Amino acid sequence: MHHKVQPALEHYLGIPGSFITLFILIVGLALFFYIIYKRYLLLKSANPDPRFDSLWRRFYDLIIYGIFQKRQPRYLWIGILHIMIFWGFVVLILRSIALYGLGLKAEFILPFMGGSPGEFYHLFKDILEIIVLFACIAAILRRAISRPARYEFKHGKAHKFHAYLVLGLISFLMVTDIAMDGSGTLLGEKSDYWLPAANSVSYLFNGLGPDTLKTIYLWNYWLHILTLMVFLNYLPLGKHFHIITGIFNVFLSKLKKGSIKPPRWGVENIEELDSLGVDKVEDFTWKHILDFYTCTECGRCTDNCPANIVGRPLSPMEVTLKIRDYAYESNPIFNLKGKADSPDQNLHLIGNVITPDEIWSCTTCGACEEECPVFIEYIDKMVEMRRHLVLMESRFPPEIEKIFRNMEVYDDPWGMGRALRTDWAGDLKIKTITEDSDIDLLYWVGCAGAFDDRCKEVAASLVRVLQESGVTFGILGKEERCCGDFARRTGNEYLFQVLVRKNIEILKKCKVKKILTSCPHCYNTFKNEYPQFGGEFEVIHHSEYIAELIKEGNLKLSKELDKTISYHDPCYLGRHNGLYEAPREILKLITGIKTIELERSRDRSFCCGAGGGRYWMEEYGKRINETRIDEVIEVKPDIITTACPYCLIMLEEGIKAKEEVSGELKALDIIEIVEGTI
Amino acid sequence: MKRNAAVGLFTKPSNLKMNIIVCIKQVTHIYVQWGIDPETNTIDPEGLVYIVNPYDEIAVEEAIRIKEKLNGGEVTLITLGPSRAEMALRLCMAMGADKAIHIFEEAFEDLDPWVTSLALSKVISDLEYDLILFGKQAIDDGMGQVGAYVAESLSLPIVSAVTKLDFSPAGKKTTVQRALEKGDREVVKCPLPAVFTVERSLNKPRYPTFPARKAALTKVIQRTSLKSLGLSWDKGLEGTMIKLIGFSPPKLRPKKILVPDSNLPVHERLDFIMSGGIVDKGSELLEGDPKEIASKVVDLLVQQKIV
Repeated sequence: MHHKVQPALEHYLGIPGSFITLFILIVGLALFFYIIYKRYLLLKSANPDPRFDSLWRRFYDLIIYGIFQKRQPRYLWIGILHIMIFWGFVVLILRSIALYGLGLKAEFILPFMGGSPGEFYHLFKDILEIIVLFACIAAILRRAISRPARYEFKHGKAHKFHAYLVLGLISFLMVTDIAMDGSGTLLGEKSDYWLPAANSVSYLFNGLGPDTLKTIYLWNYWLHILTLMVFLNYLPLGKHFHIITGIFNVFLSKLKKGSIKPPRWGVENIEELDSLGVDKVEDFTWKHILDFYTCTECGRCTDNCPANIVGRPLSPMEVTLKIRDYAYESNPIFNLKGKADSPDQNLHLIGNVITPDEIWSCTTCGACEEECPVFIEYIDKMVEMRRHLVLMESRFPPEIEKIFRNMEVYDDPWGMGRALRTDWAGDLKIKTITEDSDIDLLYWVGCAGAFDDRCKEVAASLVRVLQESGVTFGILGKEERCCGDFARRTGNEYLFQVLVRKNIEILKKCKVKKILTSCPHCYNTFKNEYPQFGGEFEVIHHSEYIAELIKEGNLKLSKELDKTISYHDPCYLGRHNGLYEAPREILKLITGIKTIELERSRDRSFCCGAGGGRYWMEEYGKRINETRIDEVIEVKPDIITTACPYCLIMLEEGIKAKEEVSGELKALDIIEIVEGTI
Repeated sequence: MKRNAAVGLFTKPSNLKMNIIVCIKQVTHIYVQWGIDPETNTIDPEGLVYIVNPYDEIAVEEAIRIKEKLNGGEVTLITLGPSRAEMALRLCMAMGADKAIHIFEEAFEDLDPWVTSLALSKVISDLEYDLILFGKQAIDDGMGQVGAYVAESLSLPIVSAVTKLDFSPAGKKTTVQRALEKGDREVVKCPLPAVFTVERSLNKPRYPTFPARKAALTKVIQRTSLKSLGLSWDKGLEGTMIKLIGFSPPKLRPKKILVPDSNLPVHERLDFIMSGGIVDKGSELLEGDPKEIASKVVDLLVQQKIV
């Protein structure tokens, strides 16, 4: 495109335009890089975190979730709007560079942008400008009129002004660029295509003299490049830092879900550490700090957080924002107020910024992490803060002290003791795996299966089905101990590691290769956390195993079951381990069953309320499991089935609390349905 | 010394520093009774765990609280037992005790309270102390004698079943509340040094932090034995005044497993299991204006079929 007006050649108070552009560029970029450097310093002061493994997988995620924004349309319409703005931005970067170039040197053209590719690009960006402008206006109207609840803060003031400001700035950038092109068209800038935005605007300018048009052109030009520089410098100051950090955050995301980070990366023996957990900003890892920078305040995490939904004081988004606000305040970019007035850099986060109640409300269900479009992590941070409370300050809900002591003395949270661990087996004649036995498959019963009356029935049911299918398996009997899931997730890393080491020792002594679990918590811990301590085993959940048995014909289901059944996805099977299909396959393989999905299912499943040690803690006010049962009642199944002992107990409790369904709706483990149809 | 003087400038001048000795016992807690081999009359080790006697844990906690409050002094633990008793010492050191003395004796089960107290008194007489604390009794043998014998051998006053402790400003006297039957309490004055045996309601022991546990692992435990205390094994046996000649567990009844009402919510079921089936008596506070309360009372009486 040939430009008639050349900003670089204009003079203002005797200063050439190119000087002004250069000035804007140098000052703007210097300021920008200074701000980024300050942000980098805080990142650097934090703890290590290895994030440069599995590069192919990371590039793949970057393309799918970063470039194609796969998670955005989980909230359909606003997601589409965001994708429009994002893609507009990507394309318009070239235009911005070209505009600065034009301000420095007359007739500037980017490489490969002369001739027809340039003409085509111009058309493309012209269309995108309309789309972006439309998306921004829609987003502004949506915020102003329909006011989605997830943007609200429960505690403190929401940063709503930032959202309007940025949407306004983007709209202004679009408007100035379109106005520039519109006036340029009338001044004789010819294009090969009819440009929808520029040509439409040019109708508005029809009849204006060339001098007026030139003034419009130049004013819009200077306003545009100045605004762009202001916009760039504004980004790292608020929630729109994600435009820069988002891509990195997706690339550096946590790949191994389900596992909690070790207290310090690179330190194997926690006894080498003097301090565990997080109580200061720098105690987090640098990736966690990057998470804080990246939060877009979209509130999707909080919108899906079970604790938040039932009215507990936890809002994942606000946890991030409170820590970010504090981190920014205590690490100011320009220390204008002087040291005395800036907040204490060594403030304890817990109690001053985040309350223990928020920290203990988390069920570690992972709904927040599943939803976050930029892959911000929450569970590790919650557990790290719990570690500080439990291990450094001995401060935790009083209910769980008894449980800690039970696990220390009796090796199970119930405090029943190993002597009673095989009681559930009754006269089932189950083999016990010892050092010399030659059994390949270990059934790891888990504490719930061994000690809870309801879950004992499930364990027995699984054993009968396995025996029916002719599978050779054994249990560890009295040598089994708690897997440690609860200890780790309540922050008692010390206790967790004691249990893990004991378990790995006995499993290795008995030469166990393959572990079958009926509890997703044991499953997850063995699969994702034991390898951190040298315990590599093949782990399989009973829903997977039974589905295989049926498909291979080793287990014949002869009876019909004429019932409507809904499946509740346990968090530690679904979200944390991606196991959604096996239980659904089993239900499909049974004749007569009509399945009906709950509204929140699969990766959006709603926690039963027991995860993260919440099973052992008091719940005040509205209960998560009762809320879940309300959702079950809405789809009216005869049976609600699940594949987790804790979910099963919680669902049963929920049903008991609802008089209208008590006695009609039944909660069963999937294995009990299988056993009933043999 | 200099440091103390400096501290004195800023804090209330107080020379009150107490050296406290706590005698603890690692007890065998039998949580299931059926595992007794009728031939050898020994308990199946599967059904038992070793824990710090809960009363002793409370004594340790109290000693540490006193030390923390006075900001000075030392807490020294003494135990008599086999090598596994070290675990109990380490745990109590993790709670905050400074020193520990382990009177090493594998066959300690055969010792009677008298010999035990002789050994403890011998060790204690070489130490400096202001206060000696014991648990009221051990939960395994339930004798509750050792504290009294130690007080006797050291010619010290003893207060048993202590539920509250207060010190006079000079630290030479204490006001002690102790438990009587049926929840009655009496308050006594007692000069120091003295021996106190503590009741459960005195405090709630802390859950040690990780740094404290770590520090406890490297603290030195001073070891001695009955022999080096001049109580040779033979003499120990001679000195034994009472001797165990029989042991009978309660008649084996069908194993009773607590089955809570399955209609109760989970936390109530847990409470039920953990309390061993003891259910608190319920109470309800009626609220409202007098008229409302009166009608609620009437409703309640009707509901309970009292009127």
